[in-house]
Amino acid sequence: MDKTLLIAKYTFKQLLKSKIMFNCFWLGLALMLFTYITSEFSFGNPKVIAMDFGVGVSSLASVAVAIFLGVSLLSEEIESRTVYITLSRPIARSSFIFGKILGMSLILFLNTLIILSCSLVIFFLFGGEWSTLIPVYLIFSMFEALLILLVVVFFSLITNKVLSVMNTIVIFILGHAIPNSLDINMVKNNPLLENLLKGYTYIFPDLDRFNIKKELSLSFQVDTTLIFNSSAYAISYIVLLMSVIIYIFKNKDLT
Amino acid sequence: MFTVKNIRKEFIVDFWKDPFVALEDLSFELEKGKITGFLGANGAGKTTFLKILLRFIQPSSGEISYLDGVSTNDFFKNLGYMPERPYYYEYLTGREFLRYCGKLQNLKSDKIDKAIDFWTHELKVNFALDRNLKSYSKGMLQRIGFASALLHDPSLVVLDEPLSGLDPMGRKEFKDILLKVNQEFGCTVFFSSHIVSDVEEVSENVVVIDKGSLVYQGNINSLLDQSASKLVKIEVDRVSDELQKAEHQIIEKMTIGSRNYLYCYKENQEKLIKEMANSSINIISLNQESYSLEEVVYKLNG
Repeated sequence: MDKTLLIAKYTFKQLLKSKIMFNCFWLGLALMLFTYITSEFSFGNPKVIAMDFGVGVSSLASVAVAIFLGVSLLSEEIESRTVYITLSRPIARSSFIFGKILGMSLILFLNTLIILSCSLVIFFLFGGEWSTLIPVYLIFSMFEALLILLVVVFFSLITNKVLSVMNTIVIFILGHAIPNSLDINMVKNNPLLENLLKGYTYIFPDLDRFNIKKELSLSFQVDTTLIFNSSAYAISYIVLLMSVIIYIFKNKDLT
Repeated sequence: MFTVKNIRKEFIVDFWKDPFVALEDLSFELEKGKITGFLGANGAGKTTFLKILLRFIQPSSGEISYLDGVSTNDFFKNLGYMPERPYYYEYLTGREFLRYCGKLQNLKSDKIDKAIDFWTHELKVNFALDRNLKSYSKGMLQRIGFASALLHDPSLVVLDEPLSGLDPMGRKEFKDILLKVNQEFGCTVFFSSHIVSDVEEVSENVVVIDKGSLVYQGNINSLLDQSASKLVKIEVDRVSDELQKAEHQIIEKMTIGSRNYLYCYKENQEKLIKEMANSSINIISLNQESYSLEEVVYKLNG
């Protein structure tokens, strides 16, 4: 476990000093500016628009950062032979990959926190009030970003960089679109299609479970059972994906 | 240190084509306490073998066993490795990177700091320790990589093309450090190179591979002796008819400018010298025709 934490610490340190954090600050500032401009055009309810636009874009930004980090996690380490420096020492491959993902998750959390905070600044500027759903949204955004990070790492272990990014984007889009499509009457009236789509959500990540943007924007309440179930789903999926990633990485030829 | 038995490695390049065989039935033993050069042309399979040795890739068949009952875990604890043209975490400083490597080896902080101080002085890269690795030149990265491989006083150092990308001064310094590590610290060194003269200069033993197969393994001097010519070249002050008696022992006579040379087989050398003494012919020099390791390796590789 010590080695895992060591890898996580140095991964975090390396990324913290890199341009990712610098870009994150610029992205946060740009988000603040665009949220402000969009809210100004809302004619009536700038708070709702500020929250809706702000959290929507911050969620997308976190996913984009997760894809960027995840796709470079292993491919760059192998291409530059940096991975050999670590793995030629007494350390298990599982500790290495777990530590890397842990370090990246911390960076991802910091990114999500900064970007979401920037969007909330404008919300509060327009008179928005603190809601207990805000930290829940932060955790759900983090779950979504972490799942996407693991999906892209999984693909990067079995295919090349471009395909990994493309596959992950497809998984992200379908992860939102398919659960939503189950509410469409056409799907409800076609049991075969409905079962097929339901089957998809059982296998691939159902990212719509973490979408509480509407509730947050319109100050609705969210059932605690839903929060609990979604969190349990995220944790189970993360554990499952991590196990698969560790298994593949342990048996992979690092050429 | 370790024994390699019948290692074969295939890579599937194209689903429809036969796999590419990178290593074919490779077997040899690495002797403890010596510097062994691992020679082969580009693409001969040196790096592939090192990746198998370090468990980065699995062989298709064959195995590597560690001598003296050393467990796999102990083998890796006492191993220092530097890959070819390494690039490190560019936003870490040299010191941070070396501390990271030291901690991976389970060294205590004070021991890590002492080792960093010692090896970076030896490798003349101490002045840049607090700079980001991003700003390091190729040679400096090579030095910091070598320092990272030596931090924990390993009993075996494996280096993949350690001299590539270094200027002549750097090459000389690196070779001196290799000798020092071996002679003063008793560390076994196994390094790959495609530059024969580098291997000849520092190594006692050599493993030569070509197209994935072993060509030679053993002492460099034995290899040179085995391959030495049986011809002797004698420079004399004059070539006289008085040497007629020994004519059948001379293979060739040659005059270049004012210099006269005679060639004979080594076994006839003594008789010929006697004849020359009887004929008052003075010998200026006598040399056995010899080959450099480079020529021998070219011959071995066909």
